[in-house]
Amino acid sequence: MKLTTPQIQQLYTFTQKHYVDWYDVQTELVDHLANGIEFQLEGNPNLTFESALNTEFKKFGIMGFNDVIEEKTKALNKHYRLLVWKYFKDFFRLPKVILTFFLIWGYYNLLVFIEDRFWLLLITCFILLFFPIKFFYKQGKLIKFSKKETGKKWLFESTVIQLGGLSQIFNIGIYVSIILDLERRTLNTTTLIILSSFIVLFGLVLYISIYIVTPKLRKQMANQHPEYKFV
Amino acid sequence: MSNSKLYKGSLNTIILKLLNEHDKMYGYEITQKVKALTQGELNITEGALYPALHKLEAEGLLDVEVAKVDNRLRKYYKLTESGTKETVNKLEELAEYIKTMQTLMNPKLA
Repeated sequence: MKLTTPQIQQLYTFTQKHYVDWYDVQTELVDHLANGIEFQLEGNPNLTFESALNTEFKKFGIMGFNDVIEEKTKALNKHYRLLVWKYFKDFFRLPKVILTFFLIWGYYNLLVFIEDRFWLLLITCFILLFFPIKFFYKQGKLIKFSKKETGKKWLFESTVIQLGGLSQIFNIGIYVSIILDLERRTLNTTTLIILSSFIVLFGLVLYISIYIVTPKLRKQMANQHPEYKFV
Repeated sequence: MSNSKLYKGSLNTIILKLLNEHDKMYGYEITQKVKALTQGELNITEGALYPALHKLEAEGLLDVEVAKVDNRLRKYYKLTESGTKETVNKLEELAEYIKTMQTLMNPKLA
């Protein structure tokens, strides 16, 4: 006995009531619950839909869907970071490695030759702060728009807006005081090279996350999930 | 996963092996297939299956496809190229483990 469309909708509401807000997670859970309920109803047609649903839900254990959400979030973050790492490594292989070293060398020279190093570092920090803020703002608007238009929230989108957990580490704001403090000291060549490398690699990770991995993941999601295309 | 904690470490291998034998499978189908193959001896719980599937997907071993079946959406999993390679490794590891355990449990037969 196949479940009706209103019953499937009821399952979506059920998952939502059990703290699963994200459509991409709900979809899989709804299908699982529906399969289990249909199997029970085939064996015992006198069983009510609600009672079969309760039996299926209990199979998820005392934590309900929490473990699934938690692990799914971790898995999405890991997938995001693995992609960032994959593209980051490309910048240390030919031909991109030439560009990486050229940028480090260029920034090092700027630090050496520009008299007022403070302004150079301040502008750099501002740029490294501006692009992520612009990204978070645009993503936030996109998520709100998508929720308004389709009524759906995607866990995948929430991973993207947090850059797979990297937004915690790659926030230049944390390092600004240290970077600007360096300016007051007399820096030797090694420290200047380290500082240039840090700034360039920091910028590379941000660039890869925002402009390479995020669009790639969106495309992947659109290929996988028919409903995502409408977003 | 019920019955025994001993099976827990082999969950990924079980999933990979099943997907290696079938073109694509969905979560519920995997639980039922394992139950049928082991004649109810092994029960993969939902709370263990989905985190394992999502982890394998994140590691790039599984690919995903969502399709409309009847009046709902269904998420299918299938092996990627690296997933197929990893299945061979995992099965070899498991065979080695079983052999070692047999040697330990039954030294006379070894």
